[in-house]
Amino acid sequence: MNLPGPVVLIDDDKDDQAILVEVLQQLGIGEVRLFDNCPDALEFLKKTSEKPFVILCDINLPRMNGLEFRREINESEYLRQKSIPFVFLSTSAIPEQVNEAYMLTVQGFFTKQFSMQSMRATLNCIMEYWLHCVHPNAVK
Amino acid sequence: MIISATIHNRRDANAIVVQTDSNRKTINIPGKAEGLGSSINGGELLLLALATCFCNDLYREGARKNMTIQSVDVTVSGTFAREHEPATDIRYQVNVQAPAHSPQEINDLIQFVDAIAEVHNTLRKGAHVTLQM
Repeated sequence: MNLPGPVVLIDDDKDDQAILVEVLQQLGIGEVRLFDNCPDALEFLKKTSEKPFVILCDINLPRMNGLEFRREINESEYLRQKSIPFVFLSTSAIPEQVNEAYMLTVQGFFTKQFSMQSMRATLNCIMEYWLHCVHPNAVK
Repeated sequence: MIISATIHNRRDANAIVVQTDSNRKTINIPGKAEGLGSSINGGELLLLALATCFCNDLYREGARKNMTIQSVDVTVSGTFAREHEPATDIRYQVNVQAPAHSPQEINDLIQFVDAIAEVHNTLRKGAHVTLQM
């Protein structure tokens, strides 16, 4: 799968990181910017000249959780204009968190799958969707 | 991956911080009722480290093999016979619930994780532990 920019992945769990990176590699996605916390990811997004293809973010993270991270992006005019698709990838889908996520105008909320096969199907679905979708970050 | 663990103990306080790379967490372990020291001893934590490592590795490797694991129970025991002497006879038992998979598949996974579990292999191979003054 040939993406026009790197995938930004934020997850503090080392085992989940390993599985998700492997699944992305299986999909032919080698360019992954991996962070185990949101403040570092936020700094990267503010400074990078790259055009990340999509942000995959866990919800329950130390220091700044995924919802707070999304709020920070929304409050930054620069990052808002970048229009990077933002997708939550969480172990659980608590209704309150799902509701709050969509109040923050995220582009998706998915639960992590137990097997790599199912995880690959989920990530493939996300990537294919955004590959075909025209959005400000994809327009050259 | 750099992992660290810190204990700050004084009378009636036992502050424990563990960290993996930049991910810092506190663990609530009470101090000894007598006042000084941790109510959970190092031997218990060492065996818990083995159980935890096996548990996490089993889920991770199960995912890689597209297996759906419902639950994992691990019990580790060992003998600390005397003060100043290392533990001996460390053994562990595992119960894995994965109804969608055959006993052979589950057994193969258990055997595989036993071979690759990082904490297990650290103890099996031995590691330098160096005091820095």
